[in-house]
Amino acid sequence: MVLLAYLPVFFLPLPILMLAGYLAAIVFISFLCLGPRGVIRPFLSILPILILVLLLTPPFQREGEPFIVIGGRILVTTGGINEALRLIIRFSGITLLFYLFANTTNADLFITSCYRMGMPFNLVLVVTIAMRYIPHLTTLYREVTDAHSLRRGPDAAVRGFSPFRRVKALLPVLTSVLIQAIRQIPVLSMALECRGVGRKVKRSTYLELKNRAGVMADFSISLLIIIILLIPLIREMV
Amino acid sequence: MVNSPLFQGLDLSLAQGKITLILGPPESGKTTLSRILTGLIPRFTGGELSGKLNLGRKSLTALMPYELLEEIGLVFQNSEEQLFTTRCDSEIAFALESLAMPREKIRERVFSALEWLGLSPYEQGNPKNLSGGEKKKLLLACLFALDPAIWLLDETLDEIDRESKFKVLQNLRRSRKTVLIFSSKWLELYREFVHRFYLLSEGRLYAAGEGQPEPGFWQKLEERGLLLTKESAGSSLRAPLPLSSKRGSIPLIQVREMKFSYQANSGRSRGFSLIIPDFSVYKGEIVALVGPNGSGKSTLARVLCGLLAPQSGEILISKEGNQRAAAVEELKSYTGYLFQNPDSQIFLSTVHEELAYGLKNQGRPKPTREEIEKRVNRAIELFNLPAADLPPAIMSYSTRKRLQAAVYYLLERSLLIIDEGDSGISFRDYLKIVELLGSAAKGMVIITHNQELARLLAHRIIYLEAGRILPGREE
Amino acid sequence: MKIAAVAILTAVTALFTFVRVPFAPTRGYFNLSDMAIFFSALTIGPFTALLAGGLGTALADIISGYPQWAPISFVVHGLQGLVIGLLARRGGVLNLSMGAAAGTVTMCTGYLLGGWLILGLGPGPALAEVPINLLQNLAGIIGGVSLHLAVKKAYPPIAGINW
Repeated sequence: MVLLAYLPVFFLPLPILMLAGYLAAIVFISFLCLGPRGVIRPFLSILPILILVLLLTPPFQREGEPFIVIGGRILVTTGGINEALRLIIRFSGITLLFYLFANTTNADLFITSCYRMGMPFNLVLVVTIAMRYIPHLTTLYREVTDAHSLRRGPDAAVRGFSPFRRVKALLPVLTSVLIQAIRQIPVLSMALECRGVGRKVKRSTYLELKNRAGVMADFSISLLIIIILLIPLIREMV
Repeated sequence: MVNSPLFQGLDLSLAQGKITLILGPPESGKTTLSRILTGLIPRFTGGELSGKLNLGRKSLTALMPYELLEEIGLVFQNSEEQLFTTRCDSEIAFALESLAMPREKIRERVFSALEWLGLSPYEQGNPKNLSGGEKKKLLLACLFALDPAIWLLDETLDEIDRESKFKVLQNLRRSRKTVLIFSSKWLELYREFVHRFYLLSEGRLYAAGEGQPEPGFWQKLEERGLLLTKESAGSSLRAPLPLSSKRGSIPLIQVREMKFSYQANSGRSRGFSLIIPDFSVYKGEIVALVGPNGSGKSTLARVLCGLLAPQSGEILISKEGNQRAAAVEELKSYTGYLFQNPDSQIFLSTVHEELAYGLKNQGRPKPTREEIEKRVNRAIELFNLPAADLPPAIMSYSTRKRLQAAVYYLLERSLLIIDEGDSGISFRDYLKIVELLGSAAKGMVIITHNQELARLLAHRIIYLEAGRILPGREE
Repeated sequence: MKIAAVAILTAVTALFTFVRVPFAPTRGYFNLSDMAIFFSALTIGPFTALLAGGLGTALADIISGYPQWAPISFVVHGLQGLVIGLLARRGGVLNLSMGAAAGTVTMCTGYLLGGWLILGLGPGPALAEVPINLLQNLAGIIGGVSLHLAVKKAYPPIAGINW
């Protein structure tokens, strides 16, 4: 597995292209790197939004020729459809890119590279620790939920339809979790100082980005791909 | 509430290059002491410290903990509190990075540290996947890499396997490290390696031998509840539940032909399944569930109280003299389960509220105000809980455990399960809890690692291994 | 101490973001992240809420499979935390309401603009989300304040940490 540490390359801001070809290229790359899952998963996750886009864009975009007319009322124009498709492509593209990035980058190495590029160490540390504690808190949350469910009486099933009622029922659980989490703060601070946090000397880094050559290769290839893909855009602008 | 001094007139000097042992019951202040020695207390937790603290000729109180990195190393009692990265090698490398050590050197040290206690396969793994003992080994490896002159080990050796315990002590002795071990249990290994013995109790440190424990040592240990013997157990135990004379009668709870396995994606170990053809607890008895980690004790407990639903089989409870199958929801109010972590159920702002909460939410005819008051106060008295209007969250661990027990005492469950209740509190406290809860419930299941304890308390012991019951024994 | 407080609250915020109360189709869930942010702002302070809110929600987005929202979440929730903290910390119901209102406005506007322009969703869906976000914030305010009070009572030492 090549460690693609410099993926910001894929971070393209506004791929507003008429051609779904651009999207197709991204889909292809995702497929290569992550397999079918890498394409299906993100799409499924944004499907509701895409549908919404499809439905809600035409009312706002009324240029072009009428497309769907019901009882004399122009509901949808070609301009509307055009725009809707554009937006869908754009959003899908962005989603896929981010997804690709997030799933091919090793978190620890990424953080280390951020540090090397100048991010303040305290921030790096915060993220590392947060990553360590998130699963821990999630497990804790489940345990507390179980423990609280045992404490309630027999007819305390919470079937509140209103989300507010549900939230209210969650409060005791959340309080327990919060207290336990907050309790950790001083102890964690102790642990950190025991390992030298607070020293004025600049730290060294142990984790390193391996395979420089491989990274350069990826970099160049991606650059190439981007140029190829941007040609239509440039052409359009000209 | 916590205004009385924790330590008084404490004199301790660590002989260089020797191993010293401080034995003390849980909550005697061992952890606090270890943190004082590294400058962490009172820096992070308030409190007052008076007296002198010297490292060689330097005064420790003037130094910051992070400056002492190369001289003193501390292993926390609770490994969850001291591990904070997501990779084992990063964890070890962290302190070295703080020292701005060049990468090559860090790498060397990390590798040899991992190798020392056999952790090499976990090099890039996430510490959260390690077992309790392995986490302790990882923390020891961190110290190994740092190589300070003084090592402070807070209840570190207990969870580690025998071989590694030996290796660690031997290594420390050979390299002439100055070591201070804090422990609440006596280990035979100490006889061989420890040079100086101390006892910590009631805020005072008692010298107890040089080269070997002095005479009378064992008696002192027993007095303070550091040693569990039939006598010490017997004196504070008054047969919690009489064995029901009608043994052949309907069991309080019975599990038949039960099969349970975790779903593939629930994050638990796949391939683990719990198969119980027959398991019952009769009225008036205490059953102990004993077994190694991962054998399914907690899983069985969770099925018994309705937190988990088995894929097949039935759970029968006894109501009004008849035995019938129980719905999962029903089990939740039939069985009470005391989690190992008492904080999972504590969230209110006063002891009083905490105790009254269960009573108020029982559903059935709500008890009157006076009723609630009376019962809450009785519980406070029985369980020796401090003033009713203080927040539980700042109380000591054993107080919170007793509070948890008190909560269940008031909830009137027919069956009570106590999961690993003996860890972190003194034997005396634990036995008291078992006794009191025994008087409130019709039957009990205790889960424990401590076979001695099981033998003393239980009428029957069930051994679990890999999800199956091994042929049990009667007491 | 700051590092530890921020780190843990970040993890807490991420956890709260995971807790879903069934509701909205667009973003997939109506979550309690705002509750955590309100809590952090009230209990510890504006800068903690800034970092914990921003990083917490961003990390949660990445972990739960919606990485495209991460940068936006980071900015929006970060600002939200900052704003609430700065306004509401001074105590008193008026400040609290101002803080709450400001926080809500920040978050809803932020996501509106973010969804519309940056992600390129167009006005339709972005506007559709506004009512949901409002509701989320409302729950967040009520919950956040309740949690703040409850935790303060149940664990008094918390008052000692301020940033």
